[in-house]
Amino acid sequence: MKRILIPLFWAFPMIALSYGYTDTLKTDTAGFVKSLNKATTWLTGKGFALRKTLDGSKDEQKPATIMLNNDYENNFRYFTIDLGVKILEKTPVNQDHILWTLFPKVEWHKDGIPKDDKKKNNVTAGLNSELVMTFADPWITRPVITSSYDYKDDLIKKIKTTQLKGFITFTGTKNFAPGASTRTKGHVLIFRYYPYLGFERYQDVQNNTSASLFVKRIFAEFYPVSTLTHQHLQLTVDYAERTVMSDDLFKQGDMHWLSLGLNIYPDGKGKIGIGLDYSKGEDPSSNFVKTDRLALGLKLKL
Amino acid sequence: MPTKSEVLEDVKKIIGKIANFPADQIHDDYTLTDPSLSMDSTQLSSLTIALNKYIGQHNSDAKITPAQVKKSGLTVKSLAGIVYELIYPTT
Repeated sequence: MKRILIPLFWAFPMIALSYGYTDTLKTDTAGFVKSLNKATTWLTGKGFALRKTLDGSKDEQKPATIMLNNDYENNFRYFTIDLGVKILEKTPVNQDHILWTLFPKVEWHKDGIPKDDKKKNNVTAGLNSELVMTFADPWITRPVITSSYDYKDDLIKKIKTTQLKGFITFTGTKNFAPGASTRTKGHVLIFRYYPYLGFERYQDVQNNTSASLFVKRIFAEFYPVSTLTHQHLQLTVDYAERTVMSDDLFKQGDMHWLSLGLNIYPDGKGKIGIGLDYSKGEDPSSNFVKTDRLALGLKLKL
Repeated sequence: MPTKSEVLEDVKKIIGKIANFPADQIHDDYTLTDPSLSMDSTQLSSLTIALNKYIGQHNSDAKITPAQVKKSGLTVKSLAGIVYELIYPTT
């Protein structure tokens, strides 16, 4: 499977980056961004999307990342890659108050750090579901249920797992409501947040061991220096607390995951930028490897 | 039945409500996902539901799809054009 998925992961960012790249990047950044926008329009028009992950949560708001990390203390460099590609979106239910969408996805998460207990390299294929319901104006009457069923091949830990995840959140419409765009008096978006409650089940397909986790999570994005037409700076906060319901697979007890992001977008539209990420805790994208990392790199969001 | 300009104004009201943005300050050339509106994927799903409710008030058979609403670079005016075509199909 990895022989198919890994080239696929490389192909998408390269298509986006190479579209008009060679002629324009050295002398005309604006031209490159314009070309990138044309490429992204074509890809999204075909039902594709590129994100950091597509795990059924608002992590989907984060751009895909390819980062070069420099450890000055130990004098080594390594790449980290976090890519999720949404392939095609289908809509089995499109009714007055309910919209149910399904899409297959593939993901690749790699951390080349030269420490055996910190390395990660895994590929995932799966199906995501999003059920959006809007019955009235108050946010409590506008639930969103996201779920996913994935097959993950962890090439470092040599673990193959199936993963079932389900979360509930809400999409409000007024300032400070969950999922709502909170704006200033001048109508500039300054932040948006999504709280989640959910359940995750991991099943090792080789050893018949499993873990069931209750998850509380919050994702927030801030735009502290935006104007009405440009958002050059994005701050993201993602915190998840996983409480063990049963676990003979990971055996790490309750787990925490904090991810902070600072992204600068020269185009002011959030499609391409430079970002600084800080992550600490048990990384859910790599079977909960303990992580404490600061990384700088390129961000792409189609 | 609404005219093309009335559909545009109604679509702006629907967008304004979900994006928490005053409808009378939404320009025709605003892109749904870019600043100023900055609508995310979940909000676009909510918008799809609201637009289908609006279309259903005028033509119960037609449906706008999430793929149409989530198309990259889609402007308010383009979206209103799609809604108008669904209310008054040409074929």
